[in-house]
Amino acid sequence: MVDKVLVEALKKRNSEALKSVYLDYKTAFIGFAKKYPLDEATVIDIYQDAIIALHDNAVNGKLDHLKSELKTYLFSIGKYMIFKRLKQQKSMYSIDEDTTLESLKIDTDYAVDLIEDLSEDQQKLQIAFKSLGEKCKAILTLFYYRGFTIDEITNELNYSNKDVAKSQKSRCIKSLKDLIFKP
Amino acid sequence: MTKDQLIAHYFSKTLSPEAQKEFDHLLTTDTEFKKAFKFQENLKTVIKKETQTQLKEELQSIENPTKTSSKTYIKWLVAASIILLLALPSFWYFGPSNLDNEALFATNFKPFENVVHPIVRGEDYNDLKTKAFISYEAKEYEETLNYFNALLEESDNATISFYKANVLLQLNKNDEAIKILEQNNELPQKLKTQQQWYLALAYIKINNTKKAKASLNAVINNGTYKTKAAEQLLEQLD
Repeated sequence: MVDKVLVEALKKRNSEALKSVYLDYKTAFIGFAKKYPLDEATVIDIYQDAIIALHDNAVNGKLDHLKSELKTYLFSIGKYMIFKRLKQQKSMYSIDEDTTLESLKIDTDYAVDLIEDLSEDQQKLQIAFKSLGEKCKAILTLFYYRGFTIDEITNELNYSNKDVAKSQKSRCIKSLKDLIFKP
Repeated sequence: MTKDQLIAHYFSKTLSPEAQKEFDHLLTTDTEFKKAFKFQENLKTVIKKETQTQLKEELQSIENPTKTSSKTYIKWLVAASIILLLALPSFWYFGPSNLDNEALFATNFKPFENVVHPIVRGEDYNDLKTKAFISYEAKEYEETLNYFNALLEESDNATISFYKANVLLQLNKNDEAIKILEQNNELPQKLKTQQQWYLALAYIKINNTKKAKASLNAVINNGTYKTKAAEQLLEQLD
């Protein structure tokens, strides 16, 4: 199934797959969003966020057993985000109560909110993380974001064995902590 | 299973039901465990946010390859205008300051820590950048300046220039430092507020209170770095 191949490619952070999903459904999504009082730039912004949420869920393995089509799934995320935006804008468009938003969320069944604000601790951590070397960023991203086990990381990043990967990861955590706690 | 292993299994979603029970129990009873877990959970959030930001940029560049840069440019223009407007009143109320600016500078200035080039013990020390930051961390500022100059001769680099300005301030070469800090526009976003802070301190050092206040306001408005310190300093200047 084509969707399955796309999901697999998204999981591997394949830019071409991302671009292809994005372009494939863009026109349809803009058409779909026409019935809501939003300008096209906003609709595209929302569509991009929906793609990112889709990507997140693919990475988390939540689309491995997707029952609907990828497009249907993407549009239900998009619809949720449209309603949320309209609500934020306190638009004239009438939405019945919060329950609508919640029920839309349940329909999609997965996380549909992007991370917006970081706490103070997280901001410090963000600055430290950004200043890490590429090697550390890669290993930590695989472990924390993509949920790889040490064995999988050893394989993916071609470490000679598990212990090397493990101590590399510990070193990265240590330099991260040093970067944060250094006065 | 050790506590570290429990946390690792949590993130790879490979906790067995029993281990999950132990994990939950430790989370409510063991503060050290909770702290370690919280740190890693925050790290996960930060990495997720990083990825989301990258993806957004990627999608925006599909949409319009030039749009993103002009957008940030406009954002900065707006920010700059607001700062300017906020700073205007101080031009009118500005009176002679009897505060000892040198003392204010001394209490507030500390060279910005090395966050761009972590020095790892046991690694090869031969490249120029590593040498530069080793001497920077060792507070050998004359030597550091030579290294930074050599690096900048190789190629322009806004981050290195920012650190060079720090060194110049330390060496009392204030005008040279200010010249860099005022014009160093290519600096990565994450260091821009830091640069404003050091610019403010540099202005204080040369008794230019007017400009110092404008820079401090910029720091405060950004709200991510030294906000409190900038507010205090602003009060002291008033």
